[in-house]
Amino acid sequence: MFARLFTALCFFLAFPGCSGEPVFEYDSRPIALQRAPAEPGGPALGATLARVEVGSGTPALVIDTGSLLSSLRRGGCPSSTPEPVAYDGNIQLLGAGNGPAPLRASFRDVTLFDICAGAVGDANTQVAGVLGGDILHNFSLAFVLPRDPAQPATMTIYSSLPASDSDLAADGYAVMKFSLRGDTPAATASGNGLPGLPSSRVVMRVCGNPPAFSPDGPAQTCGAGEVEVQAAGTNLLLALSTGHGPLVLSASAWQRLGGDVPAPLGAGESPLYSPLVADPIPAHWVTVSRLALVDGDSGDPWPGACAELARDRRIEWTLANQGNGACFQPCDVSGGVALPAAAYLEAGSNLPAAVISDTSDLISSLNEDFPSGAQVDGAIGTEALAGVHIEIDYVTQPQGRLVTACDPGANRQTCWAAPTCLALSGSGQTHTCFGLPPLGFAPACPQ
Amino acid sequence: MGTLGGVASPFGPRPATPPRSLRSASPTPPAMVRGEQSSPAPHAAGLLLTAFLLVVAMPALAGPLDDPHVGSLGFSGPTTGDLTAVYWNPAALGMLQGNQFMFGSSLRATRVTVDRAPIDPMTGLPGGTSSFPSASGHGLEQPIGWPPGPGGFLGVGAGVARRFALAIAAYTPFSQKLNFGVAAGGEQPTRYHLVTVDSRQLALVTGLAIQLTDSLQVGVAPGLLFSYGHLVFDEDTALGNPSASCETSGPCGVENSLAAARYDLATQGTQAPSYFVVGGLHYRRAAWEAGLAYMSAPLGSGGMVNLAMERSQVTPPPMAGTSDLCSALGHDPCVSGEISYHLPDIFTAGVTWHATPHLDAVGIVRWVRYGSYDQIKIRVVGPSGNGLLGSSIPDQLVLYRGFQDSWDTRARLVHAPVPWFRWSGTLRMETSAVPTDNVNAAAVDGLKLEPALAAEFRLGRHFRIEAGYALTWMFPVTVGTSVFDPAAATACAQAAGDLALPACQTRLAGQARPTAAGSYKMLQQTLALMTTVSF
Repeated sequence: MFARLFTALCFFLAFPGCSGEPVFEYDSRPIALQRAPAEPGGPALGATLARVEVGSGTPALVIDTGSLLSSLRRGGCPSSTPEPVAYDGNIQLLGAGNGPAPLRASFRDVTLFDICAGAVGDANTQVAGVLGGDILHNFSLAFVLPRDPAQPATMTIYSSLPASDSDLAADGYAVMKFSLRGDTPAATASGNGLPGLPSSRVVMRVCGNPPAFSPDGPAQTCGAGEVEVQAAGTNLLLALSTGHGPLVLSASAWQRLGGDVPAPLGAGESPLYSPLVADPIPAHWVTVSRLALVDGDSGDPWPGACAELARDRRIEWTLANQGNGACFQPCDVSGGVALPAAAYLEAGSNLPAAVISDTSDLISSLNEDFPSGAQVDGAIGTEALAGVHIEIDYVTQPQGRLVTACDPGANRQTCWAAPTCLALSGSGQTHTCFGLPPLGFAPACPQ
Repeated sequence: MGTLGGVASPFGPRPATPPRSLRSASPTPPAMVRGEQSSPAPHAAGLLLTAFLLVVAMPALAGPLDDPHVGSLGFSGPTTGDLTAVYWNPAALGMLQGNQFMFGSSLRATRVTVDRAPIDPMTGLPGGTSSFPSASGHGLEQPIGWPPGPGGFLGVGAGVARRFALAIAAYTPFSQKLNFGVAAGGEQPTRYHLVTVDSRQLALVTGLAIQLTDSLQVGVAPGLLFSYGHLVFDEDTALGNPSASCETSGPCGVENSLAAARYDLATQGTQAPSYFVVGGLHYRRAAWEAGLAYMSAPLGSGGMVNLAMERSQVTPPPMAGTSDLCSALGHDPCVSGEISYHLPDIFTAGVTWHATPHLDAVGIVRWVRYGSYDQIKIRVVGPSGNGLLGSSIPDQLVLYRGFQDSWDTRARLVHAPVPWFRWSGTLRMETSAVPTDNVNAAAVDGLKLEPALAAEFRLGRHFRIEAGYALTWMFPVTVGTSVFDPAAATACAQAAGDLALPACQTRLAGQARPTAAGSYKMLQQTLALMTTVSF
């Protein structure tokens, strides 16, 4: 009775130090990370790696936003896969450095799974564990992922991201909201109680292989009601995973993008090494010309990532050519004023991608909690985000936010972050969008 | 002049239920009001001795954040049955009879003098040859303005059927205002700890008191706490690497103004409120009254206040080569931020002895649990593509405070020589909320003494006007070994931020900042006015 009362008081008054809670220690300064190879024999632009203290050793640990659980093996890996066991333990995260690896963050009394993670990137990059979303979702995590493998990647742990969407957009950030997925109920395996896992997987709406665009190019016309007709590219649902290097696509997604899938898949090619799956995954290696992560799906009805991207580009084209009498296309107008342009991040070009079977363990695990009909098509790895500064704000409610910006000096062909562009309702107002100078009201084209 | 039980009432005719104290009203009057002297009237010297003992029995003066004079400077306390009870002890609201309206304001002027010890310009540690001019900080707190300033009190309430009392009131339980100007030679010796602070917590509360028995009342006053904040300080961006070059002037060293980035963080008006509650008991027997109350810290957040600093600016250091983060964007301010800190909870106890029909002796003790006020955490978010914020200019800061609980004790005599006038003399003493080693320009505190005088006049049947003055003097504080250690920043940076090292734990706690060694003096003057309308 007293314990229950104490627990209730703990909850109501939010007393710090109420027992049983994990303890996190970090200094919100960049933690230098290592990178796994993006693919076997590829550049070190793959999964984000740190070191972890295990006894007197400091094996590698993969930081994977795509993993629903965190793990750290307590002994050697047996030849057969045992039932998973969960325990309360600590992750002492060590950063990369020239000298002895410094302790950069500490996660104490956290639930860890005693399982053997697979290799990451290639067969030689073995990791002792995974720092997954179940821990990471307590923070706002900033990643700097340089395009040059010689430059160190960093991760900074913040308790929150204290800026509104509109302030971030005004400061040049493309903000894309997300709802976390993947909650798993507690279960019992062979008599061992396994704790439930919170939703912590970030799934983004993506347009794959959209055509190239330049505001100096020709105008795209779009009549009323044609917004989806004028879309180009393929709508995808992709999880954000810093534990993978390449873009990972299911075979069906690759076919929707217009690609061919050889049979058998991956014959004679290097496999994909994923921290989410113990064994190498047969993969067919391809390139995707470009990828755009698009904010949205709250609209009713939402036209889809590619239609939204096409609308954004038409609006940008109109604003860029406003001085020459450009007007908004009828399908982008409501009530005589342009619709707001959604934020998006375009990454390119020719992104390496691993195409794997729809029935692979990796694709299955990504779809485990999705309702029938919806389909997570794969994962966005870190190589696809090279040259991008991202902050995954898990903390903001009711939806988390992926805040992105390109490296200073990045060219549009490799990275383009477009903040949301709010429409003007009348003359006398100005707005600043798409890196253009402040612009006034532009009219809608006649129907 | 009216009489109550044959004894002159200080303020003329009263309702059938006589007043409990010299100001308040209660169903069961104390001995001095009822004219039932249970003991001989004490000698004045005895009263003074009692007062003195009450003061010295516990160390006592208000901490650097809270207002020790909410509502009234000379008459309010946990046994006072007027609207200020919503703060002091909601149970005492039960003594309200009829309707009451109170409006008051106070003017509090603070002067702080900081004489920093010389430092070594390369290490920043005390004992070197680099000296500082004396720095003076001033603060004038008054309630007029928007958002409403500190020192105001506005309340309305009513006693209902002698069993209940209801009230609603607004006041400012916590505030801090101080601005350090430029000292001689254009220097700002306190810049790395404080340039300006203006922090206010406006409480809007409803109070309810219930009379359980003739002698026991309980009360509760849940409320909302609206916060406003403005904080300006500098960050030494070369602290982690003092040997780095500052333009052409050679190594930056420590506290080089060329490496000083300025953080100017402010809320956009008041913030969405947090909630808190005050609860208490009031007990009376014969000539004695006792009150006990508890005011919580913000609930549901572990006492934490999170302020969105929407009107913020970060000015890069002169050595950065740009003076503005926002110019490329075309809009200003372009920086958002958040400040987080704890507020204390407070226990208050008070005793009133109605020594004679004309004289009350009051003792009040407040236990202000500042121990939770350990750090101020700050995060700022700036424009993309600039590359300064988050790299050479920190976007996450911790300002160490390291407060400790303080005891605020006061002894008071209230004398009503005639029915239309009464006066009070109070001696207040408060222990420091800031350990000596932790004192810095943003947290100046020490043992304080405060004599105060107040007078109240009754104007007709319904109006009372009160005025008071208090002088708060802090025993000078000399910080020899400051908790702030600039060398820890260097050591931690050289160790790549290894949190296993004490230097990095020092940095993590917000103590790896320029030293605050030196001497600190503070003087505060408070002038208060209060109007009460009973109807």
